[in-house]
Amino acid sequence: MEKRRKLVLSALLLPGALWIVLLYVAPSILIVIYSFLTRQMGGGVIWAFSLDAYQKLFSYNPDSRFINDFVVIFLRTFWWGLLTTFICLAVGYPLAFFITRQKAGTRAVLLFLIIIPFWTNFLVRTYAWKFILNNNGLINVILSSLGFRRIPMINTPFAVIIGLVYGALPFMVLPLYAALDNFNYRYVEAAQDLGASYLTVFRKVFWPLTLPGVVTGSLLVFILTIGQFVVPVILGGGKVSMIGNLLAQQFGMAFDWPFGSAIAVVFILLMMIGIVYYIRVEARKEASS
Amino acid sequence: MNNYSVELENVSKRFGDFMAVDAISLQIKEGEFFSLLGPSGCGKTTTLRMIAGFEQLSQGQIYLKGEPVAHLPPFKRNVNTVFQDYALFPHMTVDQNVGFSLDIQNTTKSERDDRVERVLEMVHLTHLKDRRPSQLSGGQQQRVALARAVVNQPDVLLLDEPLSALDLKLRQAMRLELKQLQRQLGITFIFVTHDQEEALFMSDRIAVMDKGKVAQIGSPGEIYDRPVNRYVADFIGETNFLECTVLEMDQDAATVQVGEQSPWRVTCDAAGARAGGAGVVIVRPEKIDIHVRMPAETGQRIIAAGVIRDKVWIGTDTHFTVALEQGGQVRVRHQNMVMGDPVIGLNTGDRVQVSWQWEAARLLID
Repeated sequence: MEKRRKLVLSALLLPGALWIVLLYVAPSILIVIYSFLTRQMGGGVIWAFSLDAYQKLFSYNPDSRFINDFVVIFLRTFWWGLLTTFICLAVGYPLAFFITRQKAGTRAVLLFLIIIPFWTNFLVRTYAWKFILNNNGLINVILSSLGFRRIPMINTPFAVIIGLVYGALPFMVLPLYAALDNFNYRYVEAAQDLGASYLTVFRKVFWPLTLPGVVTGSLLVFILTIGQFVVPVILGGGKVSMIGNLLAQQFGMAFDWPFGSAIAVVFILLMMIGIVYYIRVEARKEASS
Repeated sequence: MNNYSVELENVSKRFGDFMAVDAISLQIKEGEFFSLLGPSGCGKTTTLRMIAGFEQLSQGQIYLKGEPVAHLPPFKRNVNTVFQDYALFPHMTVDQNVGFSLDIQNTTKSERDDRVERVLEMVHLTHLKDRRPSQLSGGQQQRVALARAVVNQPDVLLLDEPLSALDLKLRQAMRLELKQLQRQLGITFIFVTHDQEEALFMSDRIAVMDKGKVAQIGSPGEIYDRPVNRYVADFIGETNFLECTVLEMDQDAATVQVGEQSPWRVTCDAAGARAGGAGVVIVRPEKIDIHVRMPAETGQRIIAAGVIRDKVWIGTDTHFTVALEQGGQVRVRHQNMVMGDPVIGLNTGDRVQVSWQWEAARLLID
């Protein structure tokens, strides 16, 4: 009986496991392998072991413009990732709170509105932003017709951040909504009862108890954002690159697949350090409660 | 100015069309153990929440130590609550939970630790102070909730059915402990419960509530022995009701007739009663004696004949249901004190006599 149960469980797990292995694990392994192979001119790899790609990546040369650019892009990607996460949190937390406080019907409509943009291709939605932010776009036309000077917005970091926040916001709001919706307001009453002002209630009770939602949303937004490559191209005009653009460049234009792979591998490792740290912190929290 | 700890003046709470609390007035004395007793939906919890500040009043005023507080938020009232589900902060240890009210004030570290230590000792939880609420049993959580609510020495402690989640044995033990704690602290307790036994056991005074109104306020003895109406009599303990006709009224006694038999003398409050009107006689089951044959010496006792309809033996007592010859039936609680007592040998269908001291029966007019 026990054996049969295990068999059924395995059978149920199989499609999911296959999906993950074929579409995530296998390509990742392939990327790691590519990063240790020799570059073939015009794309692809020669199956001969080589450390060229990593040497190129780690040999810091103050004269090499590319490497300097590379470090800047790396730092910029992380910075923008953090900035986007912070803005999404600042906008998403009150928004999610507002939604949870509505009547059931209103709540469903508001959540629906947050999900609706997913029905349209992200590329199209980003072009829509280009239309809004252009020098002859919606905002500037309104500004000039009111007699104000036009503000150049397109192809600036500002436009990119707008695009990044726009794309990631639902991924912040939905986990936050779940966390805030599960919150038991009896704790607020208990804290107020014991003399806590509104601010103290938020700081000592509301925020810590909704923190898991904050962490989940932030992690989602951060990972999603630092992998972005469409937004910097369309709204940044290719002037301000992120890691994603660098990768596209190496695979698509420079045809240096091993180098592109090496960048990806280093990137993945850095990401993993962050995630493992997060999981361990969560596990410790879990163990202590 | 007065010296009441809590005073409710004509307080109402309306939710939409529903009057949850309907113009109630209460005066609760300093250091009193006061219970709000009633079935669910009678407005007792809403009343408590208005005193705590969680609900706005629709009408009326609440005074704490003579000061009007209806406009103040909960954190500006020196009143603490023990919640039904305890509402212990799950992300904090027992120590942090209990110390919460001190931590958010400017209490010095040594005084804070001192006071937390003292209340934890009082509720016997010192050894668990580093645990989280989820690692505690229901009874322990309850003690933490109590400790947390008294550590900053509130003027009034509000308790919202705090014992309802505990099992029977623990609940009985906690009743005694709560009562002792209240005497020890000297704080006014307002205790909300639907459990009449609990209320009778612990309270100095009880307000029995019915549909948002106060049906009766009094000491447990008054409420039990002199209920003002059928609702209170029915809600508190077990009672026999016998429909009757009022023949004659005195100051605090009446003559009534149940069926076609000779009249009974009963106690009453003159209010509302008049000769010739209908009423109901109440007699508590434990105040009725059951006799195998007609007792020789009756004195001031009322005697009625009947037939046993039902008999239940429950160890300490035997419960009989006796259909009276003159109509109506009474439950009788007979204590099993004497081995070989002929009463215990009675069975369904047997003819018996029941009797009670005349003052044990009371006339109510609905």
